[in-house]
Amino acid sequence: MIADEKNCFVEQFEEKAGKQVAVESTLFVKGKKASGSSKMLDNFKAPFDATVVERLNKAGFSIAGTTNTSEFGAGSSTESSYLGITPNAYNNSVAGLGAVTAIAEKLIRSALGSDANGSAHIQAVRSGISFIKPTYGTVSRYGMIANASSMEQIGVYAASVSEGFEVLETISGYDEKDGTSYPNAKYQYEAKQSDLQGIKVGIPNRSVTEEDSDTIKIFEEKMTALGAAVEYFDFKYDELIETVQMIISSAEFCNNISRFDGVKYGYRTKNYENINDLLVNSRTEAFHFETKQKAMLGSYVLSEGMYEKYYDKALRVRRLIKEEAEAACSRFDVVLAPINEECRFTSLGNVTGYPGLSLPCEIKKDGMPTGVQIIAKEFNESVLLQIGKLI
Amino acid sequence: MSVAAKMIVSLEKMTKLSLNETEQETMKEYLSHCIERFDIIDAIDTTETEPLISVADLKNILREDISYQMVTRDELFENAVEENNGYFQVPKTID
Repeated sequence: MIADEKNCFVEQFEEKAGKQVAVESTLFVKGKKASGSSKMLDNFKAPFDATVVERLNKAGFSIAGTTNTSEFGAGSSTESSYLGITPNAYNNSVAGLGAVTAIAEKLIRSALGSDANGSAHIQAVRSGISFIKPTYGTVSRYGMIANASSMEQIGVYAASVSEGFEVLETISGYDEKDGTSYPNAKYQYEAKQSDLQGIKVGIPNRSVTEEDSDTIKIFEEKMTALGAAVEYFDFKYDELIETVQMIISSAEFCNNISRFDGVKYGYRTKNYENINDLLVNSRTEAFHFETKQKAMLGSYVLSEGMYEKYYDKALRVRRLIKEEAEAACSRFDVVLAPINEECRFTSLGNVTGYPGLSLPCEIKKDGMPTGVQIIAKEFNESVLLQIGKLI
Repeated sequence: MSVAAKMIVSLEKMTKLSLNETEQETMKEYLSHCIERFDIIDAIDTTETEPLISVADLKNILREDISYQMVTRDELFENAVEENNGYFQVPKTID
């Protein structure tokens, strides 16, 4: 057993031969607790393996255990976890994620986790590690507790970019059990060059604030020195990315958690006289307030009179954003932007389905590393690997 | 736009959740703040733009209709809160 002083793990499994990979508590490992860090599923045992877990086992990896995350993986940190906070590796007063802190504390080298809003990237750089979010539909979500279905994707947290891509190559590829899975049987990622000659990097104007400028400068200089051409450009609709992400993900979340009712499985209140009391009190007692907020927001944007104004409109604007991202990624090999809550581009990969890689650097804010995210066109993970290995 | 207290009660019903008074106030502020931010998309002309339901460019191709056992009945009932003779047991729903 690994000494887990920072509450990174929900459960540690018996160590087996093979490289250790942890998985977030939202992923199914047959016979083990899959709580999604929620009181609602505290006693829930996974009835089967998630496809990603099955693939890791088959390839000879060893599942180290499940890690603490936000309730149902819907938040940005363990602030909403029923199991308590896992602190950031550099700053104990900031809530982090179990998988990230476990890697930063050198307890494990890599872990699987899902990302629906870019917060996985933020958490990763703040603990000095990387997160790879692959193209939507290239990694099966079968056996994962659903949060925001059209936004979220299972990705890899890793101590090094190369190790992360080794894990990603193992778990990616078609899965008939996931209706959003692309038909490509296998994906191979390789860095084609040992420099960045011929690589075009676009940095969106308005993405870099004064606070981010030193971080961006570091990456700009490193990339230019390796032969990349860096250029600033305008990205239309950038101020709408986060709004679209919030509207759509809250609507999807509201629907996805409607299955938790205390009837068939999960937490059931002791305080009920009829079926309505059972449903309301079970959900009220089990969910964190953050979850309730998101569910109600989702219900609001889907309600009569609001659907067209917010949800339908957000879907249409999502198309405009994707078209803008397509244009940007046709002009540049990657788009580079800072990664933090204030940056307009943090959830661009979730809104468009494009792959992203976060990279930390030595410049710190509030005692924690800062960093950037590089985003490529769908299926172009190899260029992310190439850059990530060199920077 | 600020959210009315009536709306919060209606959302509680729809989401099958119950909030105390303090939580209702916090929820009102949270929703009002979100909606104020969301109004930014109002100004965008999307009359010629179709909704983007999924970012994956996939046609809905169904798998072959071959049955297989994903999990056994016993495995499923392992997670049941209350079971009675092979059924999930819940309170009486009809008077």
